[in-house]
Amino acid sequence: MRIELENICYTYMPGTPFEVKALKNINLTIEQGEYLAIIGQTGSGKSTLVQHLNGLLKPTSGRILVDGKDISNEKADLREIRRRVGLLFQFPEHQLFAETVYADVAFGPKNMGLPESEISERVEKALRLVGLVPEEVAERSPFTLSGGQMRRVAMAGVLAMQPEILILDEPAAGLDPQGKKELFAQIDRLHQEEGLTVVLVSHSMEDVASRAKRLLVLANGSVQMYGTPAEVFKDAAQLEKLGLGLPQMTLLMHRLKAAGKDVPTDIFTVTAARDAILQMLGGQKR
Amino acid sequence: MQEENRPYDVDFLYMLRTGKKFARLREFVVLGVSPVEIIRAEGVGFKYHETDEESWALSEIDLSIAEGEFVVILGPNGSGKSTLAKHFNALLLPTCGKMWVGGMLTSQEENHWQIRQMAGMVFQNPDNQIVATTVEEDVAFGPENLGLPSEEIRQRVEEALEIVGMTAYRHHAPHLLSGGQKQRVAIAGVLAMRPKCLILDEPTAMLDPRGRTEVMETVARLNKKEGITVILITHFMEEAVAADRVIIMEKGRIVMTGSPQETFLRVEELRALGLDAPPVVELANQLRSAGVEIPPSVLTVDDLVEQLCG
Ligand SMILES: Nc1ncnc2c1ncn2[C@@H]1O[C@H](COP(=O)(O)OP(=O)(O)O)[C@@H](O)[C@H]1O
Ligand SMILES: Nc1ncnc2c1ncn2[C@@H]1O[C@H](COP(=O)(O)OP(=O)(O)O)[C@@H](O)[C@H]1O
Ligand SMILES: [Mg+2]
Ligand SMILES: [Mg+2]
Repeated sequence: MRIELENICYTYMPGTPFEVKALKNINLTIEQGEYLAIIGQTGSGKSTLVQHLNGLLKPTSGRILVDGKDISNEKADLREIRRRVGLLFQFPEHQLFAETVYADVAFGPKNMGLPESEISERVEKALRLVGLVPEEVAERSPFTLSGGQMRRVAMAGVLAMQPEILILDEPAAGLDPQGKKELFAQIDRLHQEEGLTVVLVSHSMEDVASRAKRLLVLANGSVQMYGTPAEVFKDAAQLEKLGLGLPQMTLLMHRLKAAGKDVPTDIFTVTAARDAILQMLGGQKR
Repeated sequence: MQEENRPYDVDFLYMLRTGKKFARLREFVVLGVSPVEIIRAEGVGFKYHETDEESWALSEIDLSIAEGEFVVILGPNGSGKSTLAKHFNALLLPTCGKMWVGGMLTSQEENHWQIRQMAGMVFQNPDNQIVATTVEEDVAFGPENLGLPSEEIRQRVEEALEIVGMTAYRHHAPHLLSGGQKQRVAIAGVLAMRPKCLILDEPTAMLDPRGRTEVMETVARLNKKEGITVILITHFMEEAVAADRVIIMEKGRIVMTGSPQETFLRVEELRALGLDAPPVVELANQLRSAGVEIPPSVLTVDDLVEQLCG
């Protein structure tokens, strides 16, 4: 599935003194199977943007095409689109509501009118996909789980709809390093093995640099930068200006380069940095 | 009772024996002044409910924090960090063991008023901490509750806003500020109480990079310039490198304590706890393994650039 945004503008509370132009002329195509990260300061419009991708918000102007069909069209089946485009909200654990983990994850499939056997199959699969053991958690109240576990339950609820696109709005905020690592490993696996298209909203440069294939940088509701991580992180000054900065390893390479060392700057991971520095030191000796 | 309220001295022996580089403490030693202990825990255990089957949220916590120290507490989700932090200002009281703040036992209710003035808390979500419609009123809320004269309140608010760099926003509505600005206002609200100790529970978890930098710079300045004791809980390892001391918790216990440089060299143990060294330290460790000479004092990008180019 392919989503195209054409000249999207969105204004909150238009015509009131509280009017906010949250999105301004956004053009973006999300291709089947890609891994896109949306980055930007708080308030730059990231959450507003992703809520357009599954028709939760209707653009004030502009068009959204899903597989070529305009979804702002009256006849568009928004239910179907929301099933195919799974959105995990920011702090999704605040939105759990059911008595048991099972009931919470089953809520979506149930509303699709699936038979009971298929529902339970999907719930089980979804819980496993997020690294929870169904036998252990299914009958528990979601509110007795830890924060990290609650977030996984929320993600299972989205996956149980078997979406084609998975949109995650700052999924790692507040998780400990281990929880974060596991969550991203699961997302990467869903992307690679299940072929899900992933749209990741984040303000952590470290998290997106080594995984996303493309980055979209928002500021004040407009697209400021767009490209591969290597292209975007080349412009350190611009990122700094937007309040974002570089991943630590990239920053280090930029600084070494500025100090006259011959090193590449498209480096995002510790391993890549190590190799580049070892090469630099080797070169010096010779 | 009098006996129990006696302030303790910091455990110099521990420090001298292990030769820890606690910048502050060394300063104390060199200057020959005796550090004053602000927080002390002896055998503290805590359960949220008095039922038998429930496990301990804290067990056997022994801890001593000196005035002016910058302590970072790390640990996985659910390891007891927030529970411990709430003991530092008597929001929670030990189920067993003893806790002193500024020499006062937290188990004695008559101390609570003073303890909470002495040790102020800032929480993760800035939106839950806003109580008023302008920044100024928000910061004045605490001192007003102390029943201080209005001139004194005005002065404290002014000073607190100045310290966190938010004076220009005094008449703004707090809910329209950025996350980093909201947290600075929350910190100013605590400062207006003239605390000796500032406890921050994941204050940067919800902030973007600029917001995080703003908050961390403010906190570092408070510690260095104003001499306020800082206890910072975080999941960002980079934030721990500025500390005098790192404390790591797991399953309600303190499992590691030491200077940042010493702590982050213990890569395997950290990994077993589900934690990482900050990226730069991890890189330094890997370079060291590959035979490059890098002293353990390298903790930041600046340190490493200097080391490689100096
Ligand atoms: N429900 C809302 N009503 C009014 N303004 C809003 C609402 N949600 C967001 N905004 C405003 O729209 C802008 C973009 O917000 P948002 O999309 O949440 O940004 P981000 O996710 O990047 O932090 C901000 O200025 C924000 O204050
Ligand atoms: N209000 C509460 N009631 C019961 N148990 C709690 C409560 N708050 C925390 N706990 C439990 O206490 C333990 C420590 O939690 P907490 O101090 O919040 O950890 P951390 O801050 O390190 O994530 C966890 O097992 C948690 O489930
Ligand atoms: Mg958002
Ligand atoms: Mg906590």
